[in-house]
Amino acid sequence: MSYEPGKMGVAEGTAIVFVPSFASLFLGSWTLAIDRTATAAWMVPALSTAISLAAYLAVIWVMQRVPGDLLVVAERLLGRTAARLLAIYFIAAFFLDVVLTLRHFAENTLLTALPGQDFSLVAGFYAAVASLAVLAGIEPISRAAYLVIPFGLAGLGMLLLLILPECNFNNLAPWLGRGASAICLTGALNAGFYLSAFMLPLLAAPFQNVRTLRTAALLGAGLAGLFRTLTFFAYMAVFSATVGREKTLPLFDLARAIHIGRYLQRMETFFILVWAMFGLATIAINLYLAAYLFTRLFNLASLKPIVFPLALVALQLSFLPPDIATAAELHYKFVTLFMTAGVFAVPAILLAAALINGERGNKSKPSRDTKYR
Amino acid sequence: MRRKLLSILSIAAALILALLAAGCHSAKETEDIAFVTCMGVDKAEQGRLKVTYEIEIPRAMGSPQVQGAGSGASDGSSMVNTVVAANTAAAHELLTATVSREINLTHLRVFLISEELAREGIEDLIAPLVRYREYRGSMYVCVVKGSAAEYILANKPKVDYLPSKFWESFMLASSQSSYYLPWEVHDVYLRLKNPGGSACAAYIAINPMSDGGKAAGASGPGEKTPGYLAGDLPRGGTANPPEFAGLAVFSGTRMVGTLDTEETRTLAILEGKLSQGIFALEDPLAPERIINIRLRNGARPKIRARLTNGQEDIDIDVLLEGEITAITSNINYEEKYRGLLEQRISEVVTMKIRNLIRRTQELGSDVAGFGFYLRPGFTTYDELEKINLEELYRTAHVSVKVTTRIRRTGMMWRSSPYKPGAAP
Repeated sequence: MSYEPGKMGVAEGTAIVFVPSFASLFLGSWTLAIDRTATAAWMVPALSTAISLAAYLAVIWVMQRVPGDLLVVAERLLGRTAARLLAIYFIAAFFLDVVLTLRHFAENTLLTALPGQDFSLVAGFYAAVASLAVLAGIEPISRAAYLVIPFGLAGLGMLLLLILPECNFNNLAPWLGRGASAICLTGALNAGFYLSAFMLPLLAAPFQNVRTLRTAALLGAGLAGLFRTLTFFAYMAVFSATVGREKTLPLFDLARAIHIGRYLQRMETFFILVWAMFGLATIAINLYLAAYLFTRLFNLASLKPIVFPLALVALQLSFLPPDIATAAELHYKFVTLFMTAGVFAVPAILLAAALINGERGNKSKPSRDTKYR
Repeated sequence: MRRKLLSILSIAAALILALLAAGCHSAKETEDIAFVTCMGVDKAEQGRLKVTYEIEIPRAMGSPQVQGAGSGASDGSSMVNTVVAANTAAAHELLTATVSREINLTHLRVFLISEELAREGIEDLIAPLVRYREYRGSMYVCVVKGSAAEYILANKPKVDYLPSKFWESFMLASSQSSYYLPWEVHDVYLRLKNPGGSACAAYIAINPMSDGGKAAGASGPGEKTPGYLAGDLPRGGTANPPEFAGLAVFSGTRMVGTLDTEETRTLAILEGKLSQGIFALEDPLAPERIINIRLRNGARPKIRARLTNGQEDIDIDVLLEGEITAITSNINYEEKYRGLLEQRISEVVTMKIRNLIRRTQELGSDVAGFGFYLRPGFTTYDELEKINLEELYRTAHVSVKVTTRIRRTGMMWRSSPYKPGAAP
């Protein structure tokens, strides 16, 4: 079938997991975690990474025992209807993430680089470029994304070093913020930022074996979690809770705070380029997954004809939130409720079913044969 | 056929994207823009603001005949435009009606606030500075004794003929003596919102250049130099009359007082920011003579704060490193009396720190940010939010320990006396 994703390895898998989880740093919605945890907000990404990876390893454990990609495994363990429901959940998760990320990145572009530009043109440009990338396939997208990663990490590393003179580590105190329970709860709710790890078992076959799936996800989510934690830490050390929660573009403002002498300032211009690359890659990866699962769900012969219609619908939906504040809040709620639900529910159900049904499942032969093991 | 069509479409799309990626859309040439480098606000009648803009004249920048004419002069490298409006945004809109180019604030280096306005509260002034994208958090904030408009008009820099470079250079040069300290919008805003310390701003004024001047107070025991405030420095000549000296200190959003040059330098010691500063001290063994010591922080001060039954206790441990730059008595302090000199320096600096803390406690302004050191003592943020740290600071008990180590003795390592009869 024309939508078979090709052949990929650890590098591509790492990029698929890393880019969407890391790109959320460039958006403003994560500062909503400061409302719940105050000065301890920097602990949230570390905790959410650990929780989401533990959940993911549960899925890997099941996949080591039941052959097939995630949908096939679900079909073997839970039946065809459950597998379809699972596909619908992931389509909704990735597609709505396209919608909200599109809105968010387009708004950020207007706010920082093109204040006089029309929103629909910027959002349309992002949607069109992402659609073209999806037409090329997940292999080129993931490889291009992999190439972008060193720039993103080097840039962020540089930012974290240059911002050190502005850091006041007493801003991180009281260390428990709004309390240990608030940290744990928010950490768990933020696990949705790493739902991209589940893209690998959904694609599965191109990665050849479960070991690749595990290594790529651990690398991708682990690296994203590490840099998210370091960035939260530096951000809180500079702005603390009261001012930190106000920022529309936290990372951009962190870069703007760099002022070392006459020549080392205005670093944020570099980040506009980096975030545009990460934003486009994130939209493309999510759009590809939504389109791929759509074709799987309806047994379509090809993925390409639905890419532009899906992108167009996403574009139209992205216009719905009335303002940037509503869009940011909606995005955060969507991640922390809808996407986090998947991080917890999918592994839990599959794990329970695997334990109850035995290693290979007791359901009928899956609707889609797979060579993947 | 279909493949061929797709190829053509792909090439066409790539070409269009290449054009878009060149970023020429919305681009503005520098010759279409008027860059504001300094902005000052004064109080006007009927609750309005008098906003003064210093706008660069790019064509004049490279011209040798204007070098030295400076700002405030219509034929200089910048021009001054004052607008009276309800607030800074309204003033900005009115300004557009007076300049043929697009007004751009992205290169604004300094925001001046008149003392009169600062004493009424700066919340209305600071709000747009942190939200509107053209303003930057790295802009310097200064409080002007008198009128900000007059200051901008009187400012005719001679060493730096570009006004933007003048402001930048002045602030970067603050580490020479720490007689004034640069405060950026970002720092001021954080202090206004986050619990832990009070805001400050560089204090600036126009000097009458009459060789007169007036010390802010008498020099303390063991000191030979009194502190001064901007506008009162004893100087004359043909130099640029505006000057930077001291700090304006805030309690909450209102300016409540000033720190003179010596107090400002003491604050720099407490913040671990004194990189150099020459202190003129009374010679311990010949009080009529002066010893000059170049001091700097030897390490970041160790500050511990704790809250016991509602009482804040602060322990300060400062290490200073010094270099002797002059011993007018020629007494051998380098070897024989080094300990005595170190002890005297420590005593003088301890007294200066105590005086600074007492004064800022009276003002209710925790300029050194001792409240930040108190924060780790709270278990949760909710507990911290219930406490007014500035009020706690007013009654805090402070213990100060200063240790001085003379590391260098300048270009002489032993002093010999003058020959008999050479000196009175």
